[in-house]
Amino acid sequence: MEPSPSPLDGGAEGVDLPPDSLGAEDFAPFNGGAGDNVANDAQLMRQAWINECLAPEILMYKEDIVDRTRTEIARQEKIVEDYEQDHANALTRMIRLAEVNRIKFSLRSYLRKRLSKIEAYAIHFFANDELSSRLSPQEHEFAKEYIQNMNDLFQESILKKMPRDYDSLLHQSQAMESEVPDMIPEPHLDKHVFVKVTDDLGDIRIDRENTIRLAQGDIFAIRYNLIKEFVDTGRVELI
Amino acid sequence: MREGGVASSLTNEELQYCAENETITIIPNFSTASLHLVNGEYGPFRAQNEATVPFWLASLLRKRNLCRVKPPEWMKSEALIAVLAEEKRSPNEWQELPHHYIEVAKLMFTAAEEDFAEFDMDVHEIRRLIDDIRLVRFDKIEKQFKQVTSAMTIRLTNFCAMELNLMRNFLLSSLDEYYKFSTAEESGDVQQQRQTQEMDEDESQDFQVRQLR
Repeated sequence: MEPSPSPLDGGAEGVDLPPDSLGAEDFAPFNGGAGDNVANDAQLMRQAWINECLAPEILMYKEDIVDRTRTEIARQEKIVEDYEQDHANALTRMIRLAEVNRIKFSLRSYLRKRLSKIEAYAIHFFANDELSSRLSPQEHEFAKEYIQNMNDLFQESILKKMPRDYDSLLHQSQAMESEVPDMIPEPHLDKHVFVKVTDDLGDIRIDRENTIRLAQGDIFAIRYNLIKEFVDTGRVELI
Repeated sequence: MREGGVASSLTNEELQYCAENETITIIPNFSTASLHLVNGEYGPFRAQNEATVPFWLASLLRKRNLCRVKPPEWMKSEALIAVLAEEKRSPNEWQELPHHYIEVAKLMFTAAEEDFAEFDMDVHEIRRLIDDIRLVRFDKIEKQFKQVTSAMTIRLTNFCAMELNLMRNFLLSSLDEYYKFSTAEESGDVQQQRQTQEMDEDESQDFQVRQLR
């Protein structure tokens, strides 16, 4: 896949740039605490993947991180290629290659996890504007084709042999006409998750009577719905 | 409403991958300028001078006999003995250990077992201590499960990655079921009681009460 060009690495091909020249200021606010290492793209990519793995719903596509990671992978691979005949640098070349492979792994796992969620909930995502805005253009295309193919397959193999009221992919029965679609799988947002709080979030309401304090560094088993707004902004991490 | 099947968990290999990003001190026996990697800048490496690198890099170098790995401070046996004693003393408190302590220990024992002796550390003793700590903590976790009797938010501060991952399916799906029942009760207007319990804090009071009796 072609990495999209980043304005930040203008003509620096093959040259080692310090990692913070890659737009670290973009995500500095999420890291808050003074003295903390500013998260780099490899870390952000990793956390995006883990969050995606553990969240019941699909999260906002991390376009910036994915694009920067792809650019970085391409650049490191170019360096590895350039050094191929350079035996004096065999060691650093090997280290670079090992790192690139690790980063590719987290990027691939991230994209793959998203595809498996899209396969599970394609119609639900597609029918909902807010949810479909979380997909990348390519994922959107994939969802569309997936729905089309599944529909064709089910129509061909089963649905067209069913009685007329029962031949829909979306409705259990069409006998009641105005019924909203009741056969679209959707994620349960009330599932519980493990979460690590990375910022002081104060008290949040967990039910009618009770609140709970989310302090930095705490770990909770908590309903996803209660903390989902903090996942995208990086103020909590799923673990 | 139907639910599609998307499993939400991590494999042990994925956890190990995460643990390999933790940093560790090495003593290289080669010299080279700093390396600018995506993960950050490492080095410059000078022979016999300590350098901090992520674990994946340390084990890559160690495999080629290019460095020795210095066991982290928390792995010193005095530190581990203290942790173990505390873990045994209080059944409801969890000592602070590195989030990936089990994975890091395993990585140390596989990648750099011979290096312990160079730092005057007894690898067999350390291995035994970490195993004991792990078992004591797992045992306590199992006992704590008995307190989970309703839909609740549970504070699990100081629990480690591997521990959370092991209890993930059991604990989270139990909580999901309790929550399902509690909302069903609510909609049926049944008087219901939901609790928030801070597993460690509430229980430590409970524990004190038991001590007083």
